[in-house]
Amino acid sequence: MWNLLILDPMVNILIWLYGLLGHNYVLAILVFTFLVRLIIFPLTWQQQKSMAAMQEIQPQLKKLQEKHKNDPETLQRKTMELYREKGVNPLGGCLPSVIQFPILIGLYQAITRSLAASPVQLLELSQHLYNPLPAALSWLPNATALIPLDSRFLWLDLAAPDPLPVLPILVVVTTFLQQKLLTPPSTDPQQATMSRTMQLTMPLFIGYISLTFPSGLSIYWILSNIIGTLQYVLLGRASLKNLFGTEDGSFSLSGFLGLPQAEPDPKSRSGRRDRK
Amino acid sequence: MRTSKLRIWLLGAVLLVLGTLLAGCGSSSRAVLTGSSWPGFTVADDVVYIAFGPQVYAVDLATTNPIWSFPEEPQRGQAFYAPPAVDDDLVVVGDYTNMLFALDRETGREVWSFQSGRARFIGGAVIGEEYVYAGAVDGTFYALDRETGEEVWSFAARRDIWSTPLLIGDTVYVTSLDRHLYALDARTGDLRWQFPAPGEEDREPIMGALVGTPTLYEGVLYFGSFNNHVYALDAGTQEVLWTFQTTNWVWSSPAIDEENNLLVGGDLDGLVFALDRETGESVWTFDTDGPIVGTPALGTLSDGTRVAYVTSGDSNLYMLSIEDGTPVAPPVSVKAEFTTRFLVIPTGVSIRPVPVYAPPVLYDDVVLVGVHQGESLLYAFDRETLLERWTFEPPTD
Repeated sequence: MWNLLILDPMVNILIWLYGLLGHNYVLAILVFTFLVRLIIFPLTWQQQKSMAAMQEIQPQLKKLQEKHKNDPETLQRKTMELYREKGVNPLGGCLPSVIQFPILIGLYQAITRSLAASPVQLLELSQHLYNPLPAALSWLPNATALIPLDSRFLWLDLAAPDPLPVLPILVVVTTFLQQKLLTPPSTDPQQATMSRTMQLTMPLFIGYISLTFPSGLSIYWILSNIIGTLQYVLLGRASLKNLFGTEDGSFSLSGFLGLPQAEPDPKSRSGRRDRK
Repeated sequence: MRTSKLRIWLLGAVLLVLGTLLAGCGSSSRAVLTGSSWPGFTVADDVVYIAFGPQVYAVDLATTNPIWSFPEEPQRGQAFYAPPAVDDDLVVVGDYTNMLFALDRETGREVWSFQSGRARFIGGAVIGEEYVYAGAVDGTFYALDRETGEEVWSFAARRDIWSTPLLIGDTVYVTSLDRHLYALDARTGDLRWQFPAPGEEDREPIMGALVGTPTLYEGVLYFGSFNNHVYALDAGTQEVLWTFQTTNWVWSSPAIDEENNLLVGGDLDGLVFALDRETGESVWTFDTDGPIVGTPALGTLSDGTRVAYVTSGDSNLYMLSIEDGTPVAPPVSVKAEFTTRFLVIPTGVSIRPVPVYAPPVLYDDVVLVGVHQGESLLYAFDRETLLERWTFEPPTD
């Protein structure tokens, strides 16, 4: 079922794009990533809206938590009332992610499968291709005639890890930048610490695994980050305040790097050090 | 605050474990290549030479005991899958670290080695009187001095070479994933001809990638292609004598049965076919449920019945009558033993069918079948009954 609905269509579309775009696999990944982003746009848009709404009600939530800290039942009831009142779905941020997950997994598998570099991989790929092509699709390039794909690009063999650590570094940088641009500062100091840790560890983690993954996948990740960031910039969701961790969006290296700040001032709403 | 720090540490630990697991699954030039192909094996004088994973093994077929292994200690990153080429003195085999080794056939000691730029060897080598020939995945085809391993000449195809070359007289035939069959002068490396000829690449049916070794018989080259066709090509004139359309890619060349004047082969849809050698017309077909990758092995039973042994990705070894394609005995399912583990701790053993992609090889009264999954590398089945006789499991330290 997975192959029929997700993987096989993705593999074939990716290879058709490769055929239509002058046998350039990087271009095929770019267009494919763009198409996938376009398809899942309603989900990501919903997710962003939900995150923004949650962010807006943070001060009220905090007040509720302080007011009813000794009465969890009331706190829960009041919280739910607040959600209802503001039209916030607490699962609104997670559900789109859950739905996107299989699509992204399929995308990952499609890229690795189509870059078959060994006999077993090529054999597996053959089982995912539409061969022969149905008559209604005969105007498309015949995927089997395009195999093997040309996996060379600049100094890279897209089916093998980057021998220079250029792509892993770009993966780290673009993942970090995207997260920074999109994640609003939290009002909760504990959550802010978690968020800061995630913003540092996640890019490093993805960069680490990209050292061993095919470079084609790293390219997908970088392009996906860039397209994702551009998408949010165009929608006005990205913010320099998020990037530099400052109220007015002015440059701050420590804020940019998410370095630990001084003890938060309890009077400060954002929990960050007061600027003089 | 303590809770927060604990969460951070937990998050870090989860990411580390995930990272390690994912890195292990990734396509690094090390880990990934284990099991990325099936065993290459060659039988010569009661010894089978098996290339799989980090080592090459010479195994005495009478006792099933290993005679030697190369390298003696597995080296990190090294992986052998190409069928070893064997002559009176040497065993030549390439690996995935771009090395081609010539080993002493008796002892397994290295005689010489050759490094190809940055390209690994997936296909086998062939040993000529003076030169050793092998192609690498960057499309470079090498002729090396048989005694020293020094490069004598090279030829550049446009894409990967995954096949073992065919050396007949002073011509060496090479297929490539660049959709061409090349005929080269074995002494000089000069291109004698290529098929399709320059300018004819667009002729229907458009040629697909080629990964199998062609078969030459009575001046005709037979080979299969990823364009779902089998070709019969006049080696002298390069005229296409006939083509046969299959339902999926054809990985390897068909086997020739002189007695019945037939070709027996298979495609990746699991179709086994027998074709009239002269006309290419289908004589019979037989369906299996998995891709047919290896060239069938043809033999004769004690009652004189000619049979084709066919391995399939559906895990079965079939024995079919060459005359009409009917199974002579029920197929045998190749089942492999796996050690089940919880993380890294062994918890038991499970047995399940495994796909068989390596071509069957006949030796004495058994059919040898190689698999790339499970604990055993090689299975021997009785040629008459297909009952399992023995298996070979690589020695572990």
